[in-house]
Amino acid sequence: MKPDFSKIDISYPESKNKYSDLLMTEVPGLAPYTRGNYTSMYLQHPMEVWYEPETNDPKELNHSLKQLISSGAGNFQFGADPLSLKDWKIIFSKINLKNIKAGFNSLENFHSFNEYLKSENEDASKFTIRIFAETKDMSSLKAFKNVKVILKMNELTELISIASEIKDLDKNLAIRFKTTSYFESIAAMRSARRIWSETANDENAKLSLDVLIPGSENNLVKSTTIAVAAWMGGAQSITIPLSPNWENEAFVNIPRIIEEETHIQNTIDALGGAFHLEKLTEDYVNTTLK
Amino acid sequence: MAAKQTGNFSSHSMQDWISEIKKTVTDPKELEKLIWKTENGFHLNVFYNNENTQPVFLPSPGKTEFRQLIYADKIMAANQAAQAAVKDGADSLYFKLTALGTENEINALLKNLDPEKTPLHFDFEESNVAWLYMYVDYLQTNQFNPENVKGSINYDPMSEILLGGNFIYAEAEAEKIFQSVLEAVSFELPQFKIINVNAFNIRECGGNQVQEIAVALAMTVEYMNWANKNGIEPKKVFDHIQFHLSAGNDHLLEISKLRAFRILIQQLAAAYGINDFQPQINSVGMNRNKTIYSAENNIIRSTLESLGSVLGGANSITLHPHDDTFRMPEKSYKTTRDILKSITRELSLSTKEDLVSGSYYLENLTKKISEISWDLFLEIDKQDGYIACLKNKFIQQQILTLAEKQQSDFMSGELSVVAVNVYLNKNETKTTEYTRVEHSDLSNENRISIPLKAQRISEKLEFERMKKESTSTIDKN
Repeated sequence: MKPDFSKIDISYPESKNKYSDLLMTEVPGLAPYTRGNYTSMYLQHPMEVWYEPETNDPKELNHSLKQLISSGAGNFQFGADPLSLKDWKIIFSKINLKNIKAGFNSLENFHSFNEYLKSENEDASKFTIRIFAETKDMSSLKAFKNVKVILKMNELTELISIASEIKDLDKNLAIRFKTTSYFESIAAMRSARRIWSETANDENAKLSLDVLIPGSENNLVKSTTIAVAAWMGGAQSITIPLSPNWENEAFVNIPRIIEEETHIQNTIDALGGAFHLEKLTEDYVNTTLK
Repeated sequence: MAAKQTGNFSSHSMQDWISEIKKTVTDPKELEKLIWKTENGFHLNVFYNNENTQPVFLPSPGKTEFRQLIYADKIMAANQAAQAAVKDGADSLYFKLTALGTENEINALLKNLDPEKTPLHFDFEESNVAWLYMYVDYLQTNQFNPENVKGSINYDPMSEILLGGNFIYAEAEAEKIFQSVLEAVSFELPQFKIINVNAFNIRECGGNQVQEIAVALAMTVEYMNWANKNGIEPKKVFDHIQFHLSAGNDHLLEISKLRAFRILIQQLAAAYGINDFQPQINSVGMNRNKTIYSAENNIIRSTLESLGSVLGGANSITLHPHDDTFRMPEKSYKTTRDILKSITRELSLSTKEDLVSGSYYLENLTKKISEISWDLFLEIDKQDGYIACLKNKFIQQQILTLAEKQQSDFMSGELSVVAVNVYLNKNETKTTEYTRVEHSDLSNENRISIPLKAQRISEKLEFERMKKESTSTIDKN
């Protein structure tokens, strides 16, 4: 006998998860920011994608920048190998500086870049710049209002000391910590925001997170998975290293495909509430705050 | 500074969020963007929380099996690829061939493979039925124990009418064949799957996730009707049925689609008296979203598809090698295996835990997809079911309307495919590399319905680009 399907109501297998009591009524944009820094996240605050061409050759850098700019990119991170005033002239030859944001992996390159700007009569304060630095360098960088400092962090516990030591710089501070696997990375990002919110001097302080994509030294699959985790975890930026042969590789397209084809950015904290993730997040918060 | 006490933040509600967002977003057009109007006919908020969210628990299969697709047009090469795949960790093999070869060729194809240890799956198109009987003989001749043999043959007459416009054999005959293959398998190969629901074709032809689920359910009911008419117990069908659902890179929708299907198919089985039915779902990486140009991007897409399939709880995954849009794959089989290996490592999958259970967004999305899919299924059922709805064009109209919209959105740039209509690598040429032999035309001359055609979304534009390339090459010469 054929059943009468119209008489059936959909029944859902209810979850009796032992972690159900962990669920919190949090919303994005409000402290403790577990679910994201902004109420609308990527719709009003799109994730920044930074490209880091892995070469110190000024001509190669110039070529890469031109190619990337022509495809709509504008955020470029430069490596730690020293670059001179002459090098910067080659790097930015025939490039409109107004279209870019620059990031530096060393203070030396940041200073030589500033020299270059002076030589070109460019107003340094108009540039958005980010620098990888250490906590000790932060006071010297305070003078530069347009500078965002990115601190590398290996363990979540380091956040507590950073939060308590640093004052007045929260708006220009970002953290990059070691990404691990998919769920662990997402949980680490969520718990970092919570820990920061609970330990920083200003309880409304919002923590920016940057995720380094493994890039060409690793495989495309791992890089894609970590990039998805960055979006899911609510990162503010990702940085993608590009090998000298990047034009023939797909790494450059990871964020493009995620942005254009997956609709992931149509939501905030898509996995928020998932028992597995909430348990991990809670464990990270509790272990760190102990 | 001493750490503040935890838990000193007051609870927030959806209303708090709305109040907060109205402070920062005042433009009504911007506010509209906080609602995603999906092509499935429902809207989604930018976020959900525990208000009105009912967590659902679906036990995951634990380990998602990797089913290595191997094109078997060249028998020796296919066997070598198969042996290499098993050595490299493929859980099962899926041979695809347009027609059955000679007995010697079959022996060569299966040389050094152990069907008791490695489940073998076959799609020999029109020869699927003949192959079933030959395979039983092959197993006996080679002294394999049929009771231990898992695997499947992709016999799916319901897809013949969808893609060909008619059954390969007349409907009455198709029904008889259905009965005999099911009897043969349940007697000879108790662990083998023989009835297939290739619902992924709906997506390959331009349909959406809701249509895919609704049609999958309707196809299942049609098989049950055949079983009923021929006195076959429902359990026999459910024991030997396998579902092939698409894996697209619309990540969150795909995870929820799999969850929604698992809920609905359990319900459908229960209506036939089969309780706690655990479907065998093979997630098939989509072809529609893949490209010829910058084909390495297809690895990124397949990664997203695999991630979604694992999180959605598929039992197995079959991926297209990234270069099979333009040539017969050889080395790229390994790349597809590496995708799932890497993802399994990333997700540390070792338990049967439903990793996304409780997610406010995915639970809401799962419910929306379930409800709308079930409504569409009921509509098909009301119109006398799947076959009748193909004959009266109801199913085709639904899918073609969407496919046409997708194509027009793609041509206007509203729908983006990276490296095809956005972020082109203009230096890339493909004409000389293109060696793909297009699939045979499946359409039947004696049609009883309009056949649907699977097509990549970027196919037309990429062929035009290749044509321009070859013209300019000829001009240069």
